[in-house]
Amino acid sequence: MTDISKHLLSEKKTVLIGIICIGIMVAVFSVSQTLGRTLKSKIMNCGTEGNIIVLQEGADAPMFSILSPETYEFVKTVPHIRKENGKLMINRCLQLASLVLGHFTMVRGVDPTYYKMYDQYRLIEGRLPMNKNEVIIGSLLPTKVNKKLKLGDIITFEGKQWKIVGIFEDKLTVMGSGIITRLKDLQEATGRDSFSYISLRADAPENMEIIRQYIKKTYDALLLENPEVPGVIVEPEKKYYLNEAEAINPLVMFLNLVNILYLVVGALIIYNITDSICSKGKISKSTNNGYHKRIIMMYMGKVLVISLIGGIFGAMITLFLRYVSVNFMMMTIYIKVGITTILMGIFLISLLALFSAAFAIKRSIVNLPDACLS
Amino acid sequence: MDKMRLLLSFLWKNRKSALFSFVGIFILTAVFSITLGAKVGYHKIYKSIGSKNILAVYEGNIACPYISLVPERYAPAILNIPHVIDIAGEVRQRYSYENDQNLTLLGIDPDKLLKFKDIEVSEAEFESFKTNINAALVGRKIYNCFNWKIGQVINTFGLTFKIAGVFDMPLSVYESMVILHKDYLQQITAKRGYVTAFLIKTDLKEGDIKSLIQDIEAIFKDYPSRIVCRPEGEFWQAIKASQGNLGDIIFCIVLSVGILLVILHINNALFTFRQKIESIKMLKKLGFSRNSIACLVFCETAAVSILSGIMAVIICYFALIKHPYVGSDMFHPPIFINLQVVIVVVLVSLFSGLLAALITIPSALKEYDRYI
Repeated sequence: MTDISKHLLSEKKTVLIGIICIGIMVAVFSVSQTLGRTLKSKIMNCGTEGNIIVLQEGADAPMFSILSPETYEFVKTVPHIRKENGKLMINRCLQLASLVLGHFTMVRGVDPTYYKMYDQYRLIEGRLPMNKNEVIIGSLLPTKVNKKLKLGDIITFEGKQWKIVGIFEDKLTVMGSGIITRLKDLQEATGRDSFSYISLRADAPENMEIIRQYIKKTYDALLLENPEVPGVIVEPEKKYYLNEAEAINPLVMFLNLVNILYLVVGALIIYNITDSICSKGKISKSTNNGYHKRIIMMYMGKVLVISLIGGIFGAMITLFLRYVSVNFMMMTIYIKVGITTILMGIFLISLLALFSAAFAIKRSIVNLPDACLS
Repeated sequence: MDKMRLLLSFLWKNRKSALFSFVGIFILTAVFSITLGAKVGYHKIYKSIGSKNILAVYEGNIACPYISLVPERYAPAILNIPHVIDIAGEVRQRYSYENDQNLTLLGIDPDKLLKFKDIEVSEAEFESFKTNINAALVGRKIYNCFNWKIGQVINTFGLTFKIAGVFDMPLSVYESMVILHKDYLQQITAKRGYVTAFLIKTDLKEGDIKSLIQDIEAIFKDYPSRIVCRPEGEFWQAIKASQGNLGDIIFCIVLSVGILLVILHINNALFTFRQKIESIKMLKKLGFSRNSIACLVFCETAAVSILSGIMAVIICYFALIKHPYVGSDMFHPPIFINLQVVIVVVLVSLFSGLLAALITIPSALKEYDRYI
């Protein structure tokens, strides 16, 4: 260890470059992994286990789906829908992307059952909307619109004024920066009598497929009689949103490409640094006292120490980045890199650094007599 | 001439490291050109697609114009307003397609299509589209991407259309669209009686349309949702805005690859320099001066770095200029490597190549002085 620290101090410039390089690699790896994963999970987590979603056939996303009141009347009659306190666990949702203070915001108009059917949110202040034009807002909405919002504040969207009566926290889904209100208020404000989708909860997991088949068969029969009626998609909500999240894949792939480039270039730099250190003196392997092994271990130890210090530097960069918010489509997220991702980044990059250093060291090992070591 | 020969022989002697450096920089410059091309393409598809003398009437409170619903019954009233010469209802929808893909559908009356959209389509194909309510004109991008054929019938999630023709509108969002008859699209998407937007042609000049906009918006004053009238270009900008920070994310990626490129240039220069130490010693032995050796090292490093960068961008330019599209979605930016991109990449290559070469000079001089 003393040898390693002496060596590190004797080559400050090289060591500093190595630390910066590894720091950047760890930061880029952690941020790109987190960004891709967070965006994807925000969509994936929209679905709840046990729920079934009914949307207009062909609609690319819930926002683009239009269902008529007649569809709701039919879905209500479907068997095996769970009941709680005598009420059917069925919810209509009108999902819109509205302009709130000039920002693209997801707004949901929902039935009261919504709050019982979804557990991704947690009301942290106030109460649920009960009266006309009341809303609850996601805790990330103020970040999105760059304005402090509190209970009792009035916000304008869809040409109407809405009172904030509650603030909810939703770390899991896109609604973290969204707005929820009563369905009829949003319908009235937008001149719509339709809604985007219906979600319902099965009374038992094994009945989900029965419900799905029932709705599908009824619609197939209806379409035979009246082909002009738009069809519907019926799917377990979890499965539906899992598919929806695939839309993020091109961006994730793009981020991964940048990640790979950083890793390759980083490995080349480490190789270069180690090669530069090793090129100052060849390592003889003809010794029989294992001295060359000690030298190799020292070089490797040096790279490992640089990797660890660089990793800590990278972790500090990512800690700084956790205050940066990103808006993508309807989502607002903070790049909060988890400790596991950082540790994984440090581990992977240290491994890569050691691997590339090993190559450089291997190149410098020659069969020389011990005397040449000096 | 002698200097050139010397440079070449110097390069040949260090060919292995020069090749290593060349390939590394070539690959990264190609990636840099592609990301920069994607950034330019992202902005390009939304430019020049809204005609200046066309106004769009849509739901102004909606952030994503695709979900706008404007009642069709207002069309006659709009047409009666002075200076309105023509009106067309346009229906838009994002629709699912096989294997998790999607289609962007546009429904418009065939009689209005060519009056309001600057697409290029053959007369025969347009006639074939006009006469069949289930016919469609498809953009060149998705036509190629999905390997469709003219006359082919597409069935997807209840939507059925026959490809009557292919239209061109290079590097615009339209090339990712399927144009259908408005009535059919309204039926299939439960939008009967509604359009996404009205498109209005006026004989007024750009500066005089303010009062016309007010007159049009006044018609909707009793409608619950706020209906606005804006130049068509603004309608498209709203779609772009709905993408959030996507443009910024692409810019960050471009910047980060650019920084990486500069770092790689420097790294490779320093790495290959060590392979030249023996050559420097030999040249000194042959009587070369300090300056001429420094100049040789500088020129060789710069030449390899700059040449690989320039070659990469030129190859990318010729490979992608005619086939810039990636993916079928309207929102996937094309990789548009135009001359502007080529110039930027060449300048970045020049800067990083020269910088890397400059960094090696002190080391070269040090080696020269050290060798006796």
